[in-house]
Amino acid sequence: MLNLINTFINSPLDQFESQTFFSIFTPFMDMNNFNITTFALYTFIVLFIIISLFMFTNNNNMIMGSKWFITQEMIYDTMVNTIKNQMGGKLWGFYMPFIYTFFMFILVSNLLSMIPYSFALTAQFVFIISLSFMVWLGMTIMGFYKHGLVFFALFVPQGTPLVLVPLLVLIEMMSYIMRSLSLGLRLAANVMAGHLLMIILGGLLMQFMSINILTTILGFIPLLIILCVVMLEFAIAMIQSYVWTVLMASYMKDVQYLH
Amino acid sequence: MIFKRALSTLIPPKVVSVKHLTAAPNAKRINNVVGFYKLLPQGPAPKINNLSGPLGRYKAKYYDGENASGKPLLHLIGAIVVLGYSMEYYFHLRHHKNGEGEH
Amino acid sequence: MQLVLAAKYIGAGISATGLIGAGIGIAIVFAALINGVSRNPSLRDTLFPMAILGFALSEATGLFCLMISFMLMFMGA
Repeated sequence: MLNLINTFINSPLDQFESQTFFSIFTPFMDMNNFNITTFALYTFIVLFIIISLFMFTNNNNMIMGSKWFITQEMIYDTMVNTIKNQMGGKLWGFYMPFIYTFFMFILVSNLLSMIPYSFALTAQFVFIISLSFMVWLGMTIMGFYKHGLVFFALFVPQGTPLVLVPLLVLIEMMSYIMRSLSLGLRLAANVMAGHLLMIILGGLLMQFMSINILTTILGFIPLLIILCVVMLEFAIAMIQSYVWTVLMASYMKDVQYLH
Repeated sequence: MIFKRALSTLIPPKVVSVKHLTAAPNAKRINNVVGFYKLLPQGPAPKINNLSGPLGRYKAKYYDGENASGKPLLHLIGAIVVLGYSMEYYFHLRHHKNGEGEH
Repeated sequence: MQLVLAAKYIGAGISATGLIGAGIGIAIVFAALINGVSRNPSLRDTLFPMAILGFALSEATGLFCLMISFMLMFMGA
């Protein structure tokens, strides 16, 4: 499965490859990050889908919404209830659009990646982990700005004996720093593992079903099992975006209110 | 036997209309309500569309009011499959013709 | 060279056994959900989102282990 010999061996990781369509020619500096790649193309497709969800469904700004608008209202209500339950207090309204944006982006790009011949945006580790790292870094800076050095009170849970406090602060700080990595790694690992599993199973079943006619008919039973795996992948695509949202709201609560 | 009928059965019930000015405090309010309803447009609602051009026609066909169907999702899936397959053909499958790469 | 390749494959296979933890963790979460709903069925709408969150978090730790397996298999040198 590795591309050791120079023939065209297909690897299941080929689906995550990013091809360049237009590259920018800058001989003096390395500005290759401004290339138009499949990643940029699919980000534009996600933007187009989200904008069309807002512009087309609103039934010409009439008070009574159309059946399409119900989807938007559902997503909005879910977000408001989730963030209000997680954060609570006086400040949950400030951060609701921020968390809503992440929810829409991850939901739409996860569901988009389930279409055959599509590209999984959230399976790109560098993208997602740097996104979660930036979010964590921003929240930490905001915590220091808001509370000053009292921010370190986050690391001391209530009601611990004073002897344990140094050890506990170290452990809590370790756990707090790991949040930056784990938030993104959870999403990227889930989506990548799911897509890899689907492609490997699909490839194996296709090889099995192409032997002769008997195996073609016999191969419909494993096909049903792979169908169940695909349905699980749909569920995971939506659950992962919800989990990202809940965890982001929870981290925001930790930073704003210092538990 | 003649049953005695009460006064309320002889006089027909008061219909809320402008002509019954016996209920004096209600008259002005009823006047306002009737005047308001007379100013409103009558008949079925007009079809408005705040998006013009081909996107506006697409919106009116699949998203607005009565014709809200799920067909745009199928259009999206078809477009993504066509786009993805053409990219895959251009970058990978072109070199896989004539059975090379199969083991 | 072949020894490194063989070691990669063997390591990738062995590190996938960490997913046992993910399986047990998910089962514990949903067992708790079934228990809770069976004791008090009206709490289904409160407990279900928490069960989904618990499922995703425990699956995540299992997938951290699977990531190490992928790293061993597919990353060169």
